[in-house]
Amino acid sequence: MKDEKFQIKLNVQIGESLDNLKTETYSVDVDKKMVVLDAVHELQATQLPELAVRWNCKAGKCGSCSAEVNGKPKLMCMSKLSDYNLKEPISIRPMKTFPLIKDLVTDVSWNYEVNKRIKPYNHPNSSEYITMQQIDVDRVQEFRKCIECFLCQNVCHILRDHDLKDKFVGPRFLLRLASLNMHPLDTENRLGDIKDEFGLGYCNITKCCTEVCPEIIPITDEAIIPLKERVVDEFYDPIKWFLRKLFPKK
Amino acid sequence: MINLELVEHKRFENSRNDNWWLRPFIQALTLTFFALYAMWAVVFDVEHHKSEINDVSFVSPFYSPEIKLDWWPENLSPGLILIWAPLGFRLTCYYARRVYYRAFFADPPSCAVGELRAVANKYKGETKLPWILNNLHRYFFYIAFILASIHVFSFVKLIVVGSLATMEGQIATLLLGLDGIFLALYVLSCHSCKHLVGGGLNCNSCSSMTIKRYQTWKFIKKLNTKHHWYFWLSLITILMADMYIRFILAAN
Ligand code: SF4
Ligand code: SF4
Ligand code: FES
Ligand code: FES
Repeated sequence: MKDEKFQIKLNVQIGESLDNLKTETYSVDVDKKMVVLDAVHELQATQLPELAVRWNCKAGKCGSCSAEVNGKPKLMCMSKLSDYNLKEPISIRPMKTFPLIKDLVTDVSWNYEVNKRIKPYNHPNSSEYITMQQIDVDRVQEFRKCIECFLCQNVCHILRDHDLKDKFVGPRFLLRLASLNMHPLDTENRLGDIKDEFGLGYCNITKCCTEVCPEIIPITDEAIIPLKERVVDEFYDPIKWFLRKLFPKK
Repeated sequence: MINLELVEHKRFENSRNDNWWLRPFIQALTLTFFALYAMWAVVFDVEHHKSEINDVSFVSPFYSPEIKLDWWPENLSPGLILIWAPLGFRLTCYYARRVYYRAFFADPPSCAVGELRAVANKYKGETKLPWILNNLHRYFFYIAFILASIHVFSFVKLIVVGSLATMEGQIATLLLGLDGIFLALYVLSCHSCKHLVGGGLNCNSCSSMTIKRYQTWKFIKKLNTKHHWYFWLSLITILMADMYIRFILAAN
């Protein structure tokens, strides 16, 4: 049985540079099983063939279709129309934090540059065959669910509003740093860089990254706060500092 | 490296169509009310913090445990001897930080909502004074752990000495019990506690000790997911217990 079609309104921000942006309202035919990305595709197919929109999997797994739907950072392919009040127009904008390329597409390459600054996993220098147990990797395994949609980077006020991209790497990369720092075998000492170069102290744990993560990774509770505690161990805790002086590691 | 354009921000700029301001607004009101009430109870209305029913004395949780210092000036409330500890614990709590940075400093007021001053503001986060001091949260945790244990212990002691003999005593005991329980849950679910018991370990399977620590960590992690609830519930129950003890005094 075919679903009945009906019309909704979309407010879409179009334009290529900040001074020629406009938000236009379009009516598109949809049915109730569609997601926001379907509605955008319908618009592109029937009225606006030049509309730029990035997508790939339509299954919430490639992280390409990030945008701001009714002002909230979302994967368009995972945002069901039935979750919205369809009597009102739905507003669709590109991610605000990254430079605009065209319409709904932004240039997220800054993130890849940041990623290159992180030292890769460093395996122990030993010929011994090492086995790891599940309880050793439980924690870091959860972090690997990240699909690099960069919605958390987009919503983080340090990048979005304060524009401190030179000082702070953003939640996605704190997550990656946590997964390396908590790895049972990695031999790299990362805490100094995490504190200084990657700017952990800028995060004020206001948790918007966790709120928007489509993979529901508890970024703040399981990665950022534990990293903050580890940095305290190393740099801010006077008793630990004293004990280290008293019993230096050989 | 690519060039990033600076976007001009308008105050509270956003395209959300829900009431994004409601939650921070309610939280700011609630915390302000609580702070004013606590100040009144601890600094100004000192005489009414303890009531006696049938020789059992009920002490307001703001003043518990009671400490007597000979050199403490008479015109200063004895509640001030200890109040810095729970105050510091709450002010440096990771959850409370989230609440006050959002509700009082609008930094950010809500997710994907612009700030008051944004780009022009020289944001330093927790890298500089005063907020860098939040890194000392664990020390307040150590003290809070002892205080919470005393609250639970004095609740048990109340029952032993016969606090349940009267209706008023039963209600006061119940409220002080709830205060003890939620305070204990709030303290146990703390992020610093989670880190202390096993959060700093990388190899959980290395020894029987680390396995035990991992299991405790898992338990605390479960509590930790409800930390925000315990924060509010422990605030509310302290307030109710204090109010009820003052109410008994006023009624008799
Ligand atoms: S919790 Fe920290 S990293 Fe996450 S959005 Fe907030 S400030 Fe950014
Ligand atoms: S952590 Fe979540 S929100 Fe951030 S990039 Fe990964 S999947 Fe996206
Ligand atoms: S299209 Fe792949 S995540 Fe939406
Ligand atoms: S009390 Fe909230 S995190 Fe420690």
